[in-house]
Amino acid sequence: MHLIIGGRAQGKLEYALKISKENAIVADLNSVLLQETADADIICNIHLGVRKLIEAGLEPLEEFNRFIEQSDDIILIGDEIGSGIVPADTFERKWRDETGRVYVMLSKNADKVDRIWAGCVQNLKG
Amino acid sequence: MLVFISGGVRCGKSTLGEKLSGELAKARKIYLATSIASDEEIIQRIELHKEQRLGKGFVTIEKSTRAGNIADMLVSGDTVLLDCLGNLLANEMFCEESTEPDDSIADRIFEDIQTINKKADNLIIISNDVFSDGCMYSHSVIKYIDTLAKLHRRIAEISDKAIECVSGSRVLHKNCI
Repeated sequence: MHLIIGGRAQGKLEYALKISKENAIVADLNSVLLQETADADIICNIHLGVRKLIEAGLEPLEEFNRFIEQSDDIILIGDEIGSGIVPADTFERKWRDETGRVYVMLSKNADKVDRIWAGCVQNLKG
Repeated sequence: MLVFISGGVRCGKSTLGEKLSGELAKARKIYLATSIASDEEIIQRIELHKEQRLGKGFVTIEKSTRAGNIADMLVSGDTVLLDCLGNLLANEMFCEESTEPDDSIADRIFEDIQTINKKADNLIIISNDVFSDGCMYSHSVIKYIDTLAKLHRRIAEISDKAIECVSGSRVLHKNCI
């Protein structure tokens, strides 16, 4: 599993598509659920997937843990969202907390971790 | 040489930009100031930046929009420090009379940067990383963030050095020198 993180619109998906096979299937967690991504080579917007899981009353860490046990050759992409003021709203706070936890778990289990900044690739692991 | 520097608020970007200008400059150092003195806080901030530059040998040119127009004032040998791109884009996107589409503003700013870069020996561009807070902003703010991100990617791509400033230290993402 290859994890790609970075700020919003920094060129993460563009990079993933560049290193993937031709016609790679991209699943966007903004529009599909994590459980519906079986065919995907690339899964993007992890942070939005986490948000939807919380909204559905599920535990994101457990769901993503289970997911990566079943998927080996996959690229996961998410926005870094933890570098702002801690929000007063409980849900917004929980979203950032859970997203951070999911990233740490994914990072630990990933073969390779890259961070994208202004389109530049910074290898963090592998 | 084209150098791109970005990072969070108060991480030492301006100081780093000034230092690099000094290292690179063989002749004139030009500070391209982009802030509009619109309220008391901005005026104080501008004064603080001016004080910090005092005695460092910068010629200041104030240009809050259409930065490419300063090219006529430049001569070969100049080192230009643009501080900062985030400000310049906000001035262009949110000025009252602007009806230009955001993508064409980004294209124009990118052209302006190339124009300045061709004329001057060195151009150092400072910008602001505003991409990692997860906030659900209004449509116009999201458009600003995405347009700035696009400019960052395009500028980093053509730059000789791309530096992320973190608490005053440099993370060198790209070094073609």
